[in-house]
Amino acid sequence: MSNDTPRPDDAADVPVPPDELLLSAELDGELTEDERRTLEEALASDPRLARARDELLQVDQALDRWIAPGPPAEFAEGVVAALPSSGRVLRVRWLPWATAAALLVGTGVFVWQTGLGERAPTDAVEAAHVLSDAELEAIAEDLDVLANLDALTLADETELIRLTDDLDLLDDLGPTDPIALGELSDHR
Amino acid sequence: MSTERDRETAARIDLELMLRVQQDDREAFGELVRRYQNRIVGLAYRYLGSAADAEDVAQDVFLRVHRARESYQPTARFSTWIHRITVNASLNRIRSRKARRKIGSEMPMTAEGATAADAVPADELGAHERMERDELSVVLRAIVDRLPERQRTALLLNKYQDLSYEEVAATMELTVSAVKSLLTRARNNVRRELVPYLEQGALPTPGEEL
Repeated sequence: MSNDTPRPDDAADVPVPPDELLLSAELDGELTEDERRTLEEALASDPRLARARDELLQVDQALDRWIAPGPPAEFAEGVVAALPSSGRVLRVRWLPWATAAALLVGTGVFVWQTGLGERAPTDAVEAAHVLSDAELEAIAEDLDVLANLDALTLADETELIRLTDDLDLLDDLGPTDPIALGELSDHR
Repeated sequence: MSTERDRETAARIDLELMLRVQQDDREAFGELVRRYQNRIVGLAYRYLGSAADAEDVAQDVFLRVHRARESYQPTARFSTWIHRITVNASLNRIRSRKARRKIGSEMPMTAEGATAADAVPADELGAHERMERDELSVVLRAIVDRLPERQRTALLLNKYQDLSYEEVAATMELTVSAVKSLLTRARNNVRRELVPYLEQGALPTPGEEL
């Protein structure tokens, strides 16, 4: 729930007179038989408590008349239509690898066109093979960072909205919600 | 008022739907939205006092549920989870409204943007009765708005969302006895302001929290 510190009189542990707790529980239909007997005895001997009960009943009836409008027709269809396409997450995940592949092909073409390729067309492929696995991995990681930076510097609006939403979601779900944390780690 | 058995049945259906939603079943998600749309829009409305804002927040809540679907674990009831998201989203919306108003970038609104039209149900009422009910709705909103945040949330969840003490406690992450205490104080605060209006037509004085 809220991260704000509640006012002292909004704290959960403020003591309340037992008779008043029983009146409230009676309105909610949550009294046990013993509690009901206790309340009836208290009401018979305390006119102020009886008046409080009448007033609380009035309040409860008034609250019943506080009507909220329902959702418009087709609300559910609108929400379903607003769902992102299922390929969105996939797009984000394969983007760095696609970029890495394009870079490797580009490097090959460059090597071939600048003369190195005159010796033999297969040199481009060999040049690409010169890179060790560790180096390829490092490049892929750099590209991953670049892809994320692209989202910010190239004003990829969808990505920015998603990042903002993630922060927003964490705020709404609460800092300790494992679902929110799980979702964030899925996105990262 | 629902029985515990009704609640368990509803929780089982929610879980089955949510498991299908995890498999990207859009039809199941639509069904989940239909099951909860009245409650979620209604709860957001009682916080915000504007039908348009309530629909906006409700849509946001459902989309968040969908985005979090893969991580959903049935350790807590779905209803508890979605109510918690709705409460937080509504309170955040109120805070951002207040912040906007504070910096003067928005025209002041009356009673958090409440309009009489928002409170009119689509049923057949006589003109006089409708006017009375609209006024009562505005007065109730003004009073409930001024309740301290936790008292307001306990009251709205218990009174309008048909949640038991245990469910309100789970949603608010409090103990059952804390919820009982908050509810009792909320009712007493509303009573202090509302009874003079009901008996003598005396409008509650606007201003600080109760």
